Formats: sequence, C-alpha cells, structure tokens
Amino acid sequence: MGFLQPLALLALPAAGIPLLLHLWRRRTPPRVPFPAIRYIARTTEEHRRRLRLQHLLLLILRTLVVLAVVLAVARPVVRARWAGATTHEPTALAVVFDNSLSSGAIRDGTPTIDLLKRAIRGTLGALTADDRLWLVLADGVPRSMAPGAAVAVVDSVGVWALRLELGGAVTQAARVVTDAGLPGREVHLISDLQRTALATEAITGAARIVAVEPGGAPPPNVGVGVVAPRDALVGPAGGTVVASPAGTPGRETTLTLSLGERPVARAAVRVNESAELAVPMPDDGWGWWLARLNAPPDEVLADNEAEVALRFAPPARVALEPTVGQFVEQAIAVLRDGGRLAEGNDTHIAELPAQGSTLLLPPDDPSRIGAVNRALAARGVLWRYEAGGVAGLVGRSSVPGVEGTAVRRRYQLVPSGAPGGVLAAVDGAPWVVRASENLVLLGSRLDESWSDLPLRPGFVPALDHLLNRTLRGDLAALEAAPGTAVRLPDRVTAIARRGARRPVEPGSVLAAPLDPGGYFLLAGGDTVGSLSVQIDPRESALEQATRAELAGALGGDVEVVDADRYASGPFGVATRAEAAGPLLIIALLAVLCETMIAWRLRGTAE
Amino acid sequence: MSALTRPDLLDPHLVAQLGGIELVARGVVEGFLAGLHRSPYRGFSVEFAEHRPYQPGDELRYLDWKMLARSDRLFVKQYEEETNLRAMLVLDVSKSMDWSGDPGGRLTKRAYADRLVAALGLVLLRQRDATGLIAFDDVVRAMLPARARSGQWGELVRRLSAVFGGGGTAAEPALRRVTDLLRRRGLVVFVSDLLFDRDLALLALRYLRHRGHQVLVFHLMDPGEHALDGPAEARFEDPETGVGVVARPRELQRVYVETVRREVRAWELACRRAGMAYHHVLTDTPFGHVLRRAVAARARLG
Repeated sequence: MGFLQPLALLALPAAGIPLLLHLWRRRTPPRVPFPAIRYIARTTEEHRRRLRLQHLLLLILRTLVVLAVVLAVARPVVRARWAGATTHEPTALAVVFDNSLSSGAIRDGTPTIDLLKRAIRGTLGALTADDRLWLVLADGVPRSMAPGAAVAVVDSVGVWALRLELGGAVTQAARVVTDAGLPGREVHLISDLQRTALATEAITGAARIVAVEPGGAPPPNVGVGVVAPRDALVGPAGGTVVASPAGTPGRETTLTLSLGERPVARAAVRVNESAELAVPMPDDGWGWWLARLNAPPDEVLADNEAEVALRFAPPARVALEPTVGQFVEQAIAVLRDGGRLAEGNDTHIAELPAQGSTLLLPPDDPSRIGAVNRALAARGVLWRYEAGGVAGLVGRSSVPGVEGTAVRRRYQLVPSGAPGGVLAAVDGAPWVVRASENLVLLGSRLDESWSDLPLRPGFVPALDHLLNRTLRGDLAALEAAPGTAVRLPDRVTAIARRGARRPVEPGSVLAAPLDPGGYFLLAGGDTVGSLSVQIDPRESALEQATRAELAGALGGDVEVVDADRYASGPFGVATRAEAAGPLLIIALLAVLCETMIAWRLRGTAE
Repeated sequence: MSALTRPDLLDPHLVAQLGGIELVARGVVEGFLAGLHRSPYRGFSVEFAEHRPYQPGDELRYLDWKMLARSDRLFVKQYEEETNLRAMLVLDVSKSMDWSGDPGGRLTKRAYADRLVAALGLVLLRQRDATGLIAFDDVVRAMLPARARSGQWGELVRRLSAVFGGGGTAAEPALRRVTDLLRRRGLVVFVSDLLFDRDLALLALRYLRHRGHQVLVFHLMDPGEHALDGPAEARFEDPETGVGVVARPRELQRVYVETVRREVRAWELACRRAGMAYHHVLTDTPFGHVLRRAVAARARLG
C-alpha cells in the first residue's frame, strides 16, 4: 500500500486523543452529597458489565474514527481488482499516437484514426495532476503537454502523409518517460501496428510498453507506390514514367498517367511489380509539366495519387573541340545516336570558355592553366585552376554516375569568396563546379589517365546530365518523402506548386512539404528544377504485425491489448484503487455507531 | 378562592417564603379546608367537651353566642369526637432528610416534612383528633403525646422547630418506641424518605398493624433523587454514612429512574400487603395534594 498524501500520516497520534480524554476523565471526580446513594449503587451494580462494554466500544469507535479520517486524508492506494479501480501512482506517460498515412484506412466503415482516438481518450481522462504526459505524433517528436491540451490535439489532428517508424518512436518516448523521474514510466503505442512500420528494435529501458490494437482487420489496399520518370528531361520523342505500386501483395490495379489534365497512358500492374507508362510530347510544347499517376480509389485514398515533374526540352546541340579525347567523342556519339544530343553550337566541350554554354576541360599541359584562368577572370568567373590537386574518390554528387569515381590526377578548383555551385568533390575538394549559368568546370580531363570516370557506366549519363540539364539551367530533380530534409540548390529562391509559391533560402535544408505532389524549384522567375514529394510506399501495406513481431521490435515485455481492455485499465498500476472512500465510509459508520451507543448510554431524561 | 389564596396548591418552596412552620401550616390548612366540599368537622356533632378560642376558619354555627354575650370574646364549643381517634405523626429527622437537590429552589425533605407534619397536625386537631408527634433518627429525638386539647398544635410546632436530627436512620427502634407509646388504637402517619432497610422497617410497621393501628406512609423524595442529576461524572456520597459511588448521571439516568420506580413500587406493594396506605410524595408537590390524600385516608377510618 502507498499513500498519495503521506504527510497527513503525521496526524496519526491524534488517534490517541480519545484514550487520553478517557483517562483524563478518570481523575478524581467532584463529590456530590446524595442521600439516595443506595439507588445509584444498585443501578451501577445491575448495569456494570453493560456500561463497561459500552464505554470500551465508544473508546474503540472514537479511536477508529480518528484513524480512519487521518488515513483517508493521506489517500492510501491499495492493490485492487474490482472494476473502476483507476487510481495510479504518479506516472510519466508518453503516448505514441500513430496518425501516419495508414491510419486513414477504413476498417469496417470507420477510419482507423477514429478508432485510435476513441481508444486514447480514456487514458488521457484518467491522468491526474501528479502525472506527466508527452504526445508523439507521426512526426516522431515527443511533445510535453497537459492532458487537456493533448485531448484537444488528438481530437483535431488528422491523417498525416508521413511514415512513423514505431521502433524509433517508442525509443524516443521511453527515454523521455525514464528521464522524468516519476515512479510510473509507461509508453502507450496507439497505432494500427503496421508490419512495415517496424524497421528497428526499440530501446525501452524500464518503461512499460503497451501496444493497443485498434480492432477490426486492416482492409486490402493498393497505392501507386514509387513513381519516377526514367529521365527527368524528356525530348521530342517523349518519355517514360515508371511506377511500382505498393500495398497488399498480389493485388492488381490499373494506373492512369495524366499530363496536365489529360490522360495519356494506362497500365495494369500488380503490387510490387513495375509498369512503364509512356509520356508523349505535350501539344503545348517545351517546358516543365506535372505528370500525375492515379490508382482507383480504395480504403486508403491518400496513396492513390502521385505527381512527378517532367521537363520537356529539345536535345542540347553540342560542339566538340578536337582535344577532348576519344572517350568524350565516343560518349557524345552515343548520346547523339540516342537522340539525347544534336549537332550544333549551343554547347561546347572545350578547354577555354566559348560562346554559349561550355563544359570546360582543364588543359593537359599545365603551362596553359594561366591562359584558362585569365579567360575565366575575363568572364567574371570566381573560380580558377591551380596545380596541386590530390588524388581521391568522388563523394556524393548531384551529377548522376560520378559518385565513387577514382580520381588520379586533377587540378584544384579554387574559388574567390563563396561562389557555391560545387556539383562533385574529391574528398571534399571541388572537382565539378557550376561556375555560372552556362559554364561548368571539371577538375580533371575526361581521360582514363586522369580518372576512371570514362570507364564507368555512369560516364554517359553524367555527360548527358551536364550537357542537357546543368548547362541549360536545370539544377536538380529532387525526390523526398513528406517532412524529410531536402538540401536545396544554392540558386533556388522558391518552390511552387499549382500556382502557389513559397520563398526559401538558397542552399538551405528544407523540410519537404507534408502535402505529397510535384513541386517546381524556382530561381527568381525561372524554373530550375523539381521536387517530387511522394509518400513512403511502405504506408500502403496495411498488414498488421503479429504479436511475435511486435515483441521482437518493441521488447519481449510489450503488452498487446485490444482497445476495450485498454479502456478498462490503461495504467500498469491500474490495479490500484484509492482507499480513501471506504475509509471515510468506515469513519461515518463508526460515527453513527458511536452516536447510537452514546445516545443509548445517556438515555433520555425523564 | 383564587389560586393566590390557596397556598396549599402553590409550590412548596414559594409557600415557605411566607414564614415559619406555623404560619405556613396555617395558611396551607386554611386554603385546603376552604377547598373541601364537606365539613371536616364531623366530630362536632357529639358531646360538648370544652370551649376554645375562636380561630379564623371555624364555622360560625359553633360559636358560643352566650359566651360572646357574657364576655365579649369569641369561643367555639369543642365536642368529643365520636370515634375518639388518636393520631401519631412519626417524622424522620435523620441526616438524609436534610437534603435538597436544588437548594435555592426547593425545600429540603426535612423542611417539607416539617410543614407537612404541621399542616397534618392542624387538620387532625381541628377534627378533634388527638394528635401527637415522634421525631426520630437513630434514636427518638422528640416525643409529644397525642392530645386534642388547645395548645396542642402550638406545642407540636414548637417541638418540630426545636428538634435537630441529623443522625443516621434506624427506623425500627424508633417505631418500636411508637408502638409502646400508642396503646390505644389509632392512626400512625409515617413521614420519611425511607432510606433504610425496608424489611426491618416493614417489620416494625407491620407490628403496628398487628396491634390494630392504621398506618399511613408518606414516602418523601426530592425530585433530584427521583431523576438523577449532576455533573458529567461525580462521586455521589451518602451524607449519613459517607459511602460513595462514582457514576455518570447521564449514562445512568434512564436505568436509575427505573431502579427508583421499582423501589417505590416495592415499598408500595409491601405496605399494601401489610394493609398500610402508601403515598410517594415528591417535595415539589403542593401541600394540599398531600393533605387531600391524608384526609381521604382518615375518612376511610370513619
């Protein structure tokens, strides 16, 4: 047994007051002359036993009243198994309320999120001023709040197009309740317990973990899954959008691709298989377009649509200097044969900046670097070449195909100031930079003696990207899940979708919008890239994890309960009940008995 | 007569404020007699015995007009009472009688008994009954032989005022003395709080009955003895013996009253079985009520 107000126990010695008063009264009483003493003596003798018993009962009852009242004020809690035993010791509670995209699924006619809300309300209502509460939503961030505020949040929150990784969320939640320092530490996971949401094992420490099943069976579901253009730059021959639907394995769906508002392609495909949908050149000509892929509506609507941005543009017209080398010449030939490049003078691959756009290769002869630098300076370029470049590996790059390239020989690309525009780096040192809108500098020649890039499969796609996109102002085709971090190119000043424009800081890290869809990256008034925000396809697979899987991910002690049982006793110490009520009833009964016995003892005056 | 002129019906303590025993007794008797419907002077139809001075309240038809004419003084004729009743007033003057449960508001039992005995004596003497007095505690303290002559009542009152009791109560020896003194059969009026051994006392009283006396017992009790009052807890002590009992009056009150009721009932039954009249009198009872019972008992004797 414990006490919620233990300081009240300091009053327990007051239970000795009735005994003290009893003993005080037994001091020498006043003397009263009374001739008819024989009547009193006869009376007391006849009723001696009864009087003694009544006095003893009174003493016991009065002591009991004081004891019961003092204990009631101390608010004892005892283990109890009767219905309605809801009192608990001070508890730090973190509620992981999974309002991820899958909570929008309709189970037996009711949205899953409504079932989850119904389950959690009782717990929030059972919290007392001695408890602390954190609420974790689909973004995985524990937020400390009062129970009343949590109720308002839960009531108003909707389905978010996010994926909540349950193991990580439970780990975060367990840490905050453990750090709170209260006797009770509990994490309640209110979720559809999706199997695909269990990616990592939770670290729970000493916290009690309760996983509440929403009830009902998850419905079958198909979502559009992953959607991506085969190539973000689409030429006059049109392009291809590849889709891999996600959801209940084996289910089939029909995907419809629209360009603008016009359907342009349709394909039947099964979950976890891929379909390719052809995108024709739009009648309105070159430019940026949003292609939308739809699946038929089902029990989860949020995953039945996805958007990607496509840029329709003619192939770059490229001219080569004779000194570019055989690898470049062969790669360009391949691209021309594939219709990705055309002959012309819009773009040059050269050792000096030329008219139009230039992919600048450093000279093989180091003595000519000075001339290159002077040419760069004349154009106002803030980069210059310097000797002393160290061999190394290319790290992450926005140029596809160059990551991991082994660089054997290179020049250093040294900026004046902080011009930005690094597209690839060798051990952190700039190796490919966008020096201006129409000038890209390479730190190495495209030759096997300088690097293994010409020998890599990514060589041709890299050249394609640099020539068709980078040198034509197309900065990036980004992909992100809602809410995830995205680093924007340093020239981007805004993102836009369906006419709505949102300013951003160039080069900043942006939290991808929660609203899935295709967004355009803007640099001033120009569209310089795209951001495709798509839901995590794992949210479309609604299958619930088994208890064994939950135990594996959340710890073997996890308690999996259904919503009804959870409502009857949310807390691990809910088998406790406050005993103040019964004690007060005992005190009241003792007062009534004492009053009756005292009244009988005193009788009625004649 | 209005209530104001009927001292016999007033609160005894209030009446006692009027004066001493004699004055109070006279006032009580006057009021009492005035309220009676039939003449108490039945004995006046028998032979003339002697004259006595007129007293207010005497019936005018018994005035000796010849004496008035001759002496210009008022005398009434006294006649021998036909039955020739002799009455002895036996009064308990033990210490237990000298107690009041409300000293400022009630007469002690002794003070009440004195006035009651004086009034009884006056009533009896006016009926030409020879009346005497014995006062006792553990011994006989005062004795006035039964006479019907003038001045007897005055002497009775003087003896009442003079006797100081305050000893213990041993009724049986005193009652045996009474039996010795009452050779001729008559009326014995026993006034006491009866706080002594019942069996011993009844033995003596039955002896009186055996000797042919009519016995009338007035059991005096203070209302404070009848219903136990006092502080929350007290040591109640017998003023005669000093014996004490610690008790809580409020706790005992109901059962104490029951005990007293049983005691009174026991006395009543015992007296009735022995052919004695018994009356339980609380000391806040107006004297007239008691006198009425006494007169009624006296009337049954013829």
